[in-house]
Amino acid sequence: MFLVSQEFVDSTHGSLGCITCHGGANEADKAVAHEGMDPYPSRNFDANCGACHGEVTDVYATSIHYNLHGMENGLTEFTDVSSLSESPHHEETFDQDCFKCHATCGDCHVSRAKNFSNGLVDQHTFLGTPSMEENCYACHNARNAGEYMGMVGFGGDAHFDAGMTCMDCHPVDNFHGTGEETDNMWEENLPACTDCHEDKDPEVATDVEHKVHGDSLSCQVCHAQANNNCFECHLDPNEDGTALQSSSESKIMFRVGLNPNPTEERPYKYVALRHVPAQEAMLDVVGENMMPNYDEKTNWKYSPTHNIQASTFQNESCESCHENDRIWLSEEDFRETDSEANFKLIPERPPSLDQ
Amino acid sequence: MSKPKIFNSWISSLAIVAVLAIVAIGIYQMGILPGLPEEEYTPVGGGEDKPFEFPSVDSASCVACHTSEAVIAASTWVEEQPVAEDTGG
Repeated sequence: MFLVSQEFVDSTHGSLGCITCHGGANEADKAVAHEGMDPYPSRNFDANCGACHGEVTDVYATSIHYNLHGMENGLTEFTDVSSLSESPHHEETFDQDCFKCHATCGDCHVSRAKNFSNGLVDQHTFLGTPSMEENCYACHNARNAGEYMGMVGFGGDAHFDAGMTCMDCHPVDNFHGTGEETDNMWEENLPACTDCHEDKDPEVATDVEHKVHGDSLSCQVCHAQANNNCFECHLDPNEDGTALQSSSESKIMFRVGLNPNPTEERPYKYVALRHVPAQEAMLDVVGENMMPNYDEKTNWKYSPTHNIQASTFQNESCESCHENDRIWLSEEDFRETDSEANFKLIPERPPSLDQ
Repeated sequence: MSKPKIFNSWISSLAIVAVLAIVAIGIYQMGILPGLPEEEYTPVGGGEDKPFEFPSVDSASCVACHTSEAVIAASTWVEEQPVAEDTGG
């Protein structure tokens, strides 16, 4: 049961009356009052939020925070269907596990996600800007948000130390959507380091490091710390058998390899990598051979790791990167459960400093 | 032109200004105001200071319980409902 503050009751949203959004009845008897009550009214955001916030709810279905296209397409890549809806088994699996993470208005602006202790962030106060600690971290804790805040891995991010939050770099359309469908986060209007650090753009940089390396390295190769990598991911039924839940083995590592998917925006030859939670047998609980294309796609991925520091162990000197065997992805990093496609990410050693 | 002798005393001047002000207010209240159209208020559900019209449903019973720390403390909600679910982060 949730405690609601008097300040909220007196606010604009509170003045609507609980029943306007949640349903139920204005009765003293608890059971009668809660009959038909909806604890999550923003799941029906068009009807409940759209009356006043139509400019957001009209496009929200295109937000990857809502439709999870990134996760959906990531899973689809490993299958032999072009859309999960073509395969009831895959679709059901996605709905029972992955789709738990999709967010509606209230998950960011009012309450915490169900996988993060649930409950109201601040006695039902509507947060215009969501809380990084209570909302973003709730879903992104194991990787980017946890690393950014120094909760996962080693040190946190220099931008976090400077008091910056997720929303200081990510524009609001990264969360609300734009009205244009995207296949994954890479197609979003993502921030770039050079949005602020204009003088480090290789085209105008005057310092040797940024001039020499140019577009051959992503920023994270030199400035990220070790990140969290997940191996042996698998799904199991939860205790009451109503859904699936995933679990995996985590390992803090720092690996640089070839860019799995160079694009015009991210043409880098070398990038920081992260092992994502996927293995061929992870869906065996649902059916056999659920990921027939598994070996076609890598499960080491380009990582925009969020624990940036100006000085890192690999940029301490030229030798600490060029002569450092331990940071370059190699066959020794691969497990039996890994995709064959990972072999194409193993880089040649960088040019010797003697050349 | 010389001013009327009555204005030679400051207290007389003040009295004249006060009388004129009272007469002006009286004329406005009794002669002008009754002829003005009545101001129309847009009814809103949530209170008089809300920026625009929106529906509101009386939820006094909900508020009575959900703003009471004693009621919350006595609740068995946690036993009835799952609080957290591990989705793996």
